[in-house]
Amino acid sequence: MNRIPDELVMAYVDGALSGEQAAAVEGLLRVCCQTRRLAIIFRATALCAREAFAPLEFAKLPQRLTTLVSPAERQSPPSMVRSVLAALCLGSVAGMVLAIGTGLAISLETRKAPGFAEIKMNHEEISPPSQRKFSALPLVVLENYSAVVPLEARSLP
Amino acid sequence: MSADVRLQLVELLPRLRRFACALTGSLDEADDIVQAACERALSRLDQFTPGTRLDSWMFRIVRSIWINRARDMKRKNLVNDPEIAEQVAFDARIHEQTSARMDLAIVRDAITALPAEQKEVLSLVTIDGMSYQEAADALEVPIGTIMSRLARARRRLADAVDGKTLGKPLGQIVRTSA
Repeated sequence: MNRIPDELVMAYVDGALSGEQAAAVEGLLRVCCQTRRLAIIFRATALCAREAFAPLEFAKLPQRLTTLVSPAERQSPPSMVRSVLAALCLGSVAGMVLAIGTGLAISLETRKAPGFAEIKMNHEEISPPSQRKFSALPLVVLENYSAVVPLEARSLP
Repeated sequence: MSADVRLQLVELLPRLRRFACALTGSLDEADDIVQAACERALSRLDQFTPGTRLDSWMFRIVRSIWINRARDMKRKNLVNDPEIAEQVAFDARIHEQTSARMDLAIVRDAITALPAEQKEVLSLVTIDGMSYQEAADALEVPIGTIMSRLARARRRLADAVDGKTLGKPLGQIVRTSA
């Protein structure tokens, strides 16, 4: 029995082969249990890996990150200057104390990030499968190890 | 250009966090790395070539910061003790409320435990959905290297998960969690 490289079987499962290449792999899958088992492993690991990290795709972003990169969240320099001038003109000690206190509170708040355990790892609680980038792929190949592998999944680029 | 890049960065944040989380195994650490990456990117916007892919550039920065931090940890002798890490992972797992969640936690642990060059490829292609060529561009390695690393990573992941789920096959994990 001719063996083909593992990478080719993986590329078939990932839908990364041309039609001709895919047909060649399919021919081998029909007759070779070892190749079929390999295809199952590649398929199952892709599904597991996606499922394991899927909740992060829809998890709430920490404010410190969105504040850092979002243009709307950042105060422009001119308005900062105006704020400082206004504070100086007023000369209100109480106002300064309040501003410093508020700044500290915001700083502490923005530094607080959720722990990994706080994220809901059950994606069903976060979003319906239809909204996810990778929807659950058909598991035909996993249902019966002895069946000829009718791998239809070509969702990966 | 800055405002435009910032908007793209906001959209990229979930992908960058997921990538960093797969590399580190810790969401807190992932957020620290993504924050550092964004700060670095924003301070070096002149090094980004307009018309090229911002995501590839950002993934490279995240990866670079993660590698540097791992080196610093080693230098400070703070590198993870495998036994302690395993114990902590085990303790965390026994608090999981459902078997499906536990199984996915095992998968996450197994991915985090992969060699660096394997988990970064697995994260970009399998989890993030990049094509082999896109991952090759992002990591600046040949596409053949991407494919061989990815195949090794997935075989290793299958071995690791099958060995920790009391014989439950990978396919069953997916079925119970889906």
